[in-house]
Amino acid sequence: MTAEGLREASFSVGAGVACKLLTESDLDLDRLLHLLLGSAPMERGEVALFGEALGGVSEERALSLFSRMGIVWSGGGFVSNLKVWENILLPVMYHRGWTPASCEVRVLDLLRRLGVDDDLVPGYLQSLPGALPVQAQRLLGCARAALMDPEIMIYESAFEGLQRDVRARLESFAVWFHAQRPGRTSVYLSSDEQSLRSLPADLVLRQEKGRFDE
Amino acid sequence: MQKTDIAQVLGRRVLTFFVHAAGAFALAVQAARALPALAQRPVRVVFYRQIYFTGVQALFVVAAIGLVLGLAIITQVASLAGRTTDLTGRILVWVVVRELGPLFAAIIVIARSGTAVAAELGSMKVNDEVRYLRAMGIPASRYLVMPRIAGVTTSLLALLFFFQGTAVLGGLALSSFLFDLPFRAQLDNLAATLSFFDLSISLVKGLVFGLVIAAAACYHGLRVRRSITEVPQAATRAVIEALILVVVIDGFITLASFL
Repeated sequence: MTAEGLREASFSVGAGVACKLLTESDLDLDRLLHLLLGSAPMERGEVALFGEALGGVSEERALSLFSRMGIVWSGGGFVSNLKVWENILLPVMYHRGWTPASCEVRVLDLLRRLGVDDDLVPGYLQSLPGALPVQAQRLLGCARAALMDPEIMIYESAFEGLQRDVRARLESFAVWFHAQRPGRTSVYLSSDEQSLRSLPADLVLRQEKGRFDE
Repeated sequence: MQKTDIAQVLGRRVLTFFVHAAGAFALAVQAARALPALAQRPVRVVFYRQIYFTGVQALFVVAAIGLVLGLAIITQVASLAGRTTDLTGRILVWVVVRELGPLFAAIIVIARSGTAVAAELGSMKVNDEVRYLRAMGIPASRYLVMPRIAGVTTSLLALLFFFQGTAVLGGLALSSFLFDLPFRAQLDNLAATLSFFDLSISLVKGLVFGLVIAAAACYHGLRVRRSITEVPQAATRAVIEALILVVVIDGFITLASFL
């Protein structure tokens, strides 16, 4: 691995586990995600997803594995020139061929579970993501990831910098969503342990001097 | 600066240009392979939007330039050769259909869409949006690059024929109004001069120019790394390289068509 802090890192998260993954810095967290997505080169070692080493599979296969995973990005993770509604539907339309009409009820249900005010929903969905507050972007991004019903859900610093009530809603959504699919893995990734303190987890991996220990 | 330094700088520039051209070509090949993805609705939406931005929104500019160009050519012909209907049709075909039509349409598309595509993709790279797409299992080559290349190429072809139509018909109409040249006689001359070969050359140029402009724009846009200051640089490089390639390719195609 290229990142100094991750040079000795070695860990695995099994299926069905809710795991807190705590890095020493935001930089290590970012690099960890870059390595997972193959957007940073690795000096040595390997990253495996669903039991397949990403270094040994084709680009097509890697993308197919990524499509089984959902990431809730701290900044929303939206494509800026698409409306929020188009952003939310993009992965399910691209991978599954769903139509907007077939997703509408499910999206509204997810947004309700995330505590997004019903009155605000139409305005949010028709806006460009850049026009919305970060908290709203994160909740809407969470709905997009959840809509794909992923086998692995990763929350990237998703509980940091939120108002208390919004964080509580997102936490209860994460717990509910984890239980919705048997074998679903939830990874709460953060460099701020405090932001994850009230989330239940089966496993806590903490980075110390480059190693991840339980 | 010594002669060797100048040679080194020039050599490096030329080499870089060819490396970039090869990169853009590889991207165009990748896009061609990804063409079946147009069957997917989200990809098709990007394709339609590109046609709207590059083709539909440029119609007014293209029509205006075409009209002025047609009139300018007819005026020149009338001032040099007198008010003759024989020559106007022929010169319009030679100049507008074979040469200036494809070139002007390409320059308009480079100026409007080449910069826009490079800047848009560059901003997406800086804002990590390409990584977000990848994390969803959506490759940039299929979702961002292919529909843009296909959209720009389709639009350029349409704009090219629209430009030629406006320049030729508008030029003839204006000349019949200003110089009392019979419109119908000029049109008959034009129809007699215009061959399938002329239109084919025009079609080939439009197709190649569209691919080159879009591939260069996408290539430079996606080469942006982490800094927002790279975005305007990428747009400038895309424009310059597309212009050079278009002019060079235009020369080659014109030369080849006369061999």
